Amino acid sequence: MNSHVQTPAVRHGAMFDTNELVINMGPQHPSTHGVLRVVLRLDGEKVVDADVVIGYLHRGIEKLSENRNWTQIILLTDRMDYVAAATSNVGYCQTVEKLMSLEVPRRARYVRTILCELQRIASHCLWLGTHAMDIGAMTVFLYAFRERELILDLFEEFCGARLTYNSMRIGGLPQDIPPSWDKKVLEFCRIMDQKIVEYEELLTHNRIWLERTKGVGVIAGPEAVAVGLSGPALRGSGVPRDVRKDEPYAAYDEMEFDVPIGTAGDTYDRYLVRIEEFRQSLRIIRQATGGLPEGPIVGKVPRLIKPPAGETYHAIESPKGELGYFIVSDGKATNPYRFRVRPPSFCNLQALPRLVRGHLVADVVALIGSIDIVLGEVDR
Amino acid sequence: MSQVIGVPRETAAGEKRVATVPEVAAKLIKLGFKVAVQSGAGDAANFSDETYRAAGAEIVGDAARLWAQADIVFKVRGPTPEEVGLMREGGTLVSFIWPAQNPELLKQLAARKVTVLAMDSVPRISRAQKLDALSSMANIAGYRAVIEAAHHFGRFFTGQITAAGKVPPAKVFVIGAGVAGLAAIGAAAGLGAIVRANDTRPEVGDQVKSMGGEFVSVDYQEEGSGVGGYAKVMSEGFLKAQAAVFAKQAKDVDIIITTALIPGRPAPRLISAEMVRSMKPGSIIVDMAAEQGGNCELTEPHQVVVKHGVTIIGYSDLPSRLARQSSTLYATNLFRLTEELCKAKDGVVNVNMDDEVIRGTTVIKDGRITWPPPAPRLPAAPAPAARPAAGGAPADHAPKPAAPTGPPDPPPPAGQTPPDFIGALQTALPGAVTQVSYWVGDWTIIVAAARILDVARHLRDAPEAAFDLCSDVTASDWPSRAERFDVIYCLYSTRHRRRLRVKTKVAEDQPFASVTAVWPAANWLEREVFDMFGVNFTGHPDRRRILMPEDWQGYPQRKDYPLEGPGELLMENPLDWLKLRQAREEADIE
Repeated sequence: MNSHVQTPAVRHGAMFDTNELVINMGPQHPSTHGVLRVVLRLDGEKVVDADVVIGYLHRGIEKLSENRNWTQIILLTDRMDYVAAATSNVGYCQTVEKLMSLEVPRRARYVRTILCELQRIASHCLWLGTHAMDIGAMTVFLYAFRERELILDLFEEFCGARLTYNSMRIGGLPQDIPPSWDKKVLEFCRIMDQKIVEYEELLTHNRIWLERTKGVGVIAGPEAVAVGLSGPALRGSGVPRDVRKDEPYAAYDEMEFDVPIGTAGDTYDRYLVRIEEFRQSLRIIRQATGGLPEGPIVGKVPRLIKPPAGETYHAIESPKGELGYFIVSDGKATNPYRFRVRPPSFCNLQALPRLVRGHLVADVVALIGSIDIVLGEVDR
Repeated sequence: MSQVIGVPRETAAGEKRVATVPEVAAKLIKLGFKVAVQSGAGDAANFSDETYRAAGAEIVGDAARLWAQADIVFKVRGPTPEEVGLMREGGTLVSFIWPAQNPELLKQLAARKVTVLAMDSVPRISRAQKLDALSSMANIAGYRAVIEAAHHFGRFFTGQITAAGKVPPAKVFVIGAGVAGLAAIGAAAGLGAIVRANDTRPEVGDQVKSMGGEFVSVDYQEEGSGVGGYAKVMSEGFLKAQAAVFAKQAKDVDIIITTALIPGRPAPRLISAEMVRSMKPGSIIVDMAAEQGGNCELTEPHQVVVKHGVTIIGYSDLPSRLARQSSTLYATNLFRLTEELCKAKDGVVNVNMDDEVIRGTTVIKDGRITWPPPAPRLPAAPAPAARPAAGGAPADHAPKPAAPTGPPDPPPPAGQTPPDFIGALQTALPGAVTQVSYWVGDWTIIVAAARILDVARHLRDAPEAAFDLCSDVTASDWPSRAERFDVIYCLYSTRHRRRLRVKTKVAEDQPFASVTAVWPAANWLEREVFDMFGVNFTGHPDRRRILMPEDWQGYPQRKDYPLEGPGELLMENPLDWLKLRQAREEADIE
């Protein structure tokens, strides 16, 4: 694909064809999940082209992190994908551990796996609720948020916070799981099993849902890879790419789970992939909780964290896709020399103009929901 | 055999403190010591003999027996000649000594062949903070100074609007923002007063603000920080400017609290008789430096006097006036010292002269005078930031000495052979790869900037490489290098499931080919690198800023870009800022 020809930027004040209409969607539109602005060029109701304008939520997290010490950065990572803060914490801590060649105890890796998967379910719940509501299904929103609350309760019990967890430490965990927390997690898995069936009853065979999602925003596997899609958005196009399987971290190498993939590469398949991921996540949580080993929760971490000079890139599978950290240490300072985040939402959002071209304005809403973005992460 | 810690009653007139309190006595016993307390030692501080006994201490009736029995004596004030006479030969004494002011006492003690640790000589280093009795006493004194002032002051501290009329808040001016000064600021602000403070050391400005005060600076360029975080003697020009500031404040404020002290010197004269005369009737001066000669010309030590309608408080026993609190904190300081002296927790002290803290504190060791200790090396406060040159970058972003020039990029260790596709790439495009590096499990190839497109195409299309996914494009900035940017591509092959990092070095304005045609995913990623670093990509289909607004000046992720953003330039030099913006707009119109 040569995007030079297909995506001329829509510039403000430029003369446009009288048959075409340029409208602004956002940055305050409720379906843009935050402050995303999409400048749409329309022919009637059909989208001819779209220009995505981002940066409204840019807080300079990379720059800030280069001026904080290694431990302080953990809570800045909370504020990127704030609906999946624990995953961002784990990704960052693992990158620093890789730089320092730190060994993380097995128990800590298991708890990290449980937290990551709980977080994936919570994030997918939020995605499902808002995605369905954007398309018009209010009930699903209420259902999905009900289950998300249960997960937030579990997180609150683990680390005291419900949104920005600061739930990880370099080398392990800040504290062990509370007593009988694992039983509550299993109880949650039992509840969640039935709820997934409920979601599917509402949507999977719903005629309106099928009309609105089938054949909308089709992207084939090789093209999806080329434009940099990752996570469920990529797997919906049939590419079996999952960082948990391909480059295992935490305790994923000891877990048995499948990577669901779609076939059509449309909004409906991306929906099916995420629904199946609910089940796979529950499967992982059950294994990890059942086989939770005893032992220490923090490895041998020096009092002063100061990785040796060098750089590394480390990626994990966040609920949105490949979340990568590229960190450079100069070996002298107590702060990173360069701190870079490869945000999955940012890279997935890049594909939006490609996906919406030729569809109706209403489908833009469905597609923004379908690629599951969080603007806090896009803009950092 | 555990040693006995003896705590005699203080004999100095008006001294209400006691060197240990029941709670701490129990902790000392846990360390393995026996504790003997003279009967009535804690009475003035409201600690009865019973409470000591309940904590496990032995109560001894008279001083002579206690001194004879004790291996270690804890005291607040330095011993009197009689007490020195009571001391056991070879024993240990811990108290305030002030060796510089009391050379005679030092000689007497040395003659008794004892070991003496002076709580006023604890070195000012972070590790010793928990046993810094000067700070804990100064803290109490600062608080008490405000309470004494409030007691003599005829008005509220806080402002009020009542049915009976409006009450303006009291204005308090604190001179010297050390531990005592900061405590005074906190206490006065807590009572609701408007608090201002001045200090010769500019770096305490933030501390003043954090305690609720307002920092009044003297407009004169001179650094007032001396060794160990204490103040130093200032030049005449500075003193003149300072006096002008104080004279102005004196006319305005209701209460002045002076805490200015310079180690080993008489207190500086800061408030002249003239300034006192200019103050409003009913005003208060609390001179905490009264014992060292006073910061105010009219202070009379240990007295409260009224001069020109202004009450001048010259008490030198402020901590003793809060005896229960100061005893508790002092006892805790002594306990921390004991912990340092008795690391084995076996009830026997070991005066280890190799320990920096103990070395500094010990003034006599086995009858040999070891005071003064070697000079403290570290300043207690971080070095203050130098003022930025007008219009220049703020000082904390000034280039540091020996600026880093990039990560080491170590070659692969023996036994790590590079994957086959790297060899194939080197064969296909000779000279393109300048270096192969391996670090914590990652392979990196460093590529000549001019060859990046060829390399990218090869890596995507060659079947043994097949890097179809461009995960990330980013950069790092090394301003001291001629080619200041590292541009980094993180690649992944979905076919072979492996990663590779490609790195190139690029100069600031050097045209550098975009890889968007090879990996469309690089589009936004390169835009971000352009936006954040200003790397000059060529052949990019849509080279606009992405996160920052279109008309933004500068490149935020560069190392010489201030963390605070351009705010400083905007505030200090709004005209320059406007000019920059206009220049850009005009260029756009053309």
